[in-house]
Amino acid sequence: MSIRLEHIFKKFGDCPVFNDLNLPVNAGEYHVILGPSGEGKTVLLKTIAGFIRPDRGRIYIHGTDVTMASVQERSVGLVFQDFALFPHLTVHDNIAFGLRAQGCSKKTINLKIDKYAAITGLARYLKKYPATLSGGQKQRVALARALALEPEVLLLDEPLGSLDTSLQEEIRLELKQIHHELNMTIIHVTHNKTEAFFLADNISIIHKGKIVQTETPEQLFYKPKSSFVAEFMGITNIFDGRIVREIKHNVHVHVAANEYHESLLLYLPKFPVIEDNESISFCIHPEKVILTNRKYDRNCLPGHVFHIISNGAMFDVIIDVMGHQIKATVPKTVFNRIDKDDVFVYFPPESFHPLCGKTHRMPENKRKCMNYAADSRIILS
Amino acid sequence: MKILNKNKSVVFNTTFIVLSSIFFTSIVMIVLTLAFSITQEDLRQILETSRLVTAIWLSIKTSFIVMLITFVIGLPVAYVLARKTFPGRALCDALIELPIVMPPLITGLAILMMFGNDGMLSGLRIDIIFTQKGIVLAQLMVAAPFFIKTVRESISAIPENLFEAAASLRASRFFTLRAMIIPLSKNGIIAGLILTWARALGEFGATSMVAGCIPMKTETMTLAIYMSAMSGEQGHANAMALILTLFSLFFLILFKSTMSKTNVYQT
Repeated sequence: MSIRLEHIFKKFGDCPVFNDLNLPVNAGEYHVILGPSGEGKTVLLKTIAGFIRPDRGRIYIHGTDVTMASVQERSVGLVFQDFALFPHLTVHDNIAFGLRAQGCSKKTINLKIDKYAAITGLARYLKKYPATLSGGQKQRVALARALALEPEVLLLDEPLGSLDTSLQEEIRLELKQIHHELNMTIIHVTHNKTEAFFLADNISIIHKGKIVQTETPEQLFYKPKSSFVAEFMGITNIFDGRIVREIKHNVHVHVAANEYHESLLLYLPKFPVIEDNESISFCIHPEKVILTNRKYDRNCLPGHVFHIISNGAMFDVIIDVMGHQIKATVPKTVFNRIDKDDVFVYFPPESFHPLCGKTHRMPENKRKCMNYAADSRIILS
Repeated sequence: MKILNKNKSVVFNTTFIVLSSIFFTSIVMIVLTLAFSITQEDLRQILETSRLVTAIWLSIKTSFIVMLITFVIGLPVAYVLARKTFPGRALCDALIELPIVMPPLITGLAILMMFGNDGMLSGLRIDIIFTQKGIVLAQLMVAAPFFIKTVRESISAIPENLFEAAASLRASRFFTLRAMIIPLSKNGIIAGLILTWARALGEFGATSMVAGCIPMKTETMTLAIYMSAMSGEQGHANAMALILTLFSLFFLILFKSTMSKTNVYQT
C-alpha cells in the first residue's frame, strides 16, 4: 500500500509542527523518517495513524483520501515507542486484543497468534504478563500485536529506542526479516542513523516541519541537498563559498573561514545550474580527502595533523588547515608512509558535492534543476 | 554520620508506629465498647423484634440497590468526566462532588422540595416522599459521588498510549471499555463501590428528611438506632450498632479480597 502526504500543515497553539510537509512512500517499501528529537516525527506517525488531524493537507493510503477517516477506519498498525502493552493481559491476550475486537472466531485467533508468535519468537512466552518480560520481549509482543491484524501499513515509533545496543541489533535484523517475509509497507521513525541506514529502502529527513530530502540511504549520504542534511548525516567537511566563475562544469569557488581564504576548483558535471557570484555550500567526504607530502597545483593546502583516531584498517585523521578542521579517512598503510610534519591536504575537484537548495533561485534555473531532478530520479525539496 | 542517620531512622519509624497504633487502637476500642455494652438478651430481643429486623433488612436492601444503580449510572459519568473535554466540564466536576461537601440534610431537603407537593418534579407522580424509593434516591444522591470521583481518578490514571493502542487495534469504544478500561480500573471501581455502599448504609440525614422514619416501612438501621437511643432503649441501640459494624467489616474484607494487590501499570 502506498502512502502520500500532501501539503500537510499542523499547529499546536502558536507552535507550527508541520509546514507544508509532503511525504511519498511507495507500496511495500521500508521507509524511515529520520530527524533529530523534537522535529515532530511521532506527531507525523500519529497523523498518518489518524490520532491527529492535520489543519490542512491530504493523506492518501493506496490512493484513497483518508484525511478525515478515524483510526479504526485506516488499515494501519502502530507499534509504540514505549510498547503500550495492556498490563492486565497475558502475551496471548495482548496479541488477541485486536482480533477479539474484530469479532474473529476462537479458531482464527489461535491460528493467527500461533503464526505471529512464531515469527516474533514469542511462542514460549504466551502465558506471561508484560511486567515479567524483558525489553526485547515486550517489543516483540507489541510487534506481534500490531501484525496480528494484518494491517496494510505498519508504523513503528522509535521501536528500538528503549533497548540496549545488542538487543537493538537483534530486533533490527528481525524487523528486516519480517519486512522481507510479509512484504508490507513499513514507516519507521527514528533519530538513529545506523538504524535508518540498515533498514531503509528510502529515508526521509524531517526538519522544521518539512521533509527536506527523500532518498535511498546511499544517495542521502553521498548527495545531501542541504547543509542541514549533510551535518545531520555526520558529514564534517562542509564549506561555504562564493562562485567566482564557471567554465564547462569547472566551478571556481572562493572559500573564506577563519584565517582560511582559498580559491577551490570544483568539477560539477551533473549540476547545470551553477551561477556566477552565487553563494554555494558543498562538502567532501572524508574518504575522498587525500593526505600527501606532495604539493599539487590546485586544491592543495598545508595542514597540521591535530588528532588521529584508529578505525579498523583506517585512520580518521583530523587536520587543522589554517583554522578550519578537515576530516580525512585514510588507510593505515598509506598514512604510515606520510611524513606527518609536512602534510598537504588535497581535494580532488571531482570529489566535491554541492549541497543544493541555496543557488537555484532564478525561475529558468529552477526549471533546469527540476528537469535534472526528474532525469536522475532525485526528489528536490 | 552513619550512627546519626540510624538514629534518625529509628525516630522516624517509632513516630509512625506510635501514631498508627493510637489510630488503630481507637477503632478497636469503638468495636470492643459496643461488644461489651450489650447482653445476649439485647441481641435476642432485637432478632425477635420484627420492627428492628425489618430495619436491618431494609438497610441492606437499599444500600445494595444504591450500589447497583451507582455502578450502572456512575461508570458512564466517570468515563465522560475522565476522558471527554467539553464546555462546562469543570462545572460538572464541581457539581458531581457537591453532595460530598454538602450536609446530607440539605440534599434531603432539596429532594423533598423537588418531589413534594407543588415541587418541580411533582408532576411526574412518582411516589418518593415517605417511601422506600425515597430512601434509595436520598442514599443515591449522597453516596454516588464517592463512586464517580474514585472511578474518574482511576480512568484518568490509565496511560493515554493504552487508549491509542486500543484504537490502533481497531477496538470500538465499547470493546475498549469492556476489555481495557473496566479491568484496569477494577481497584478504583471496587473502592468506589465500597465507599458508596458504606455511605448508603450509614446514611441518616437525607434519608430521614425524604422518607421519614415510619417503622416497618421506611425505618432504616441508622434511623432505628437513633430512635432506640432517643427512647431510652440503649441496649437495642448498642446491639444494632454492633451488628451494623460487624456487617460493614465483613463486606469490607469481602470487597477488598477481590482487589488486585499489584500495581497494574508496572510493565
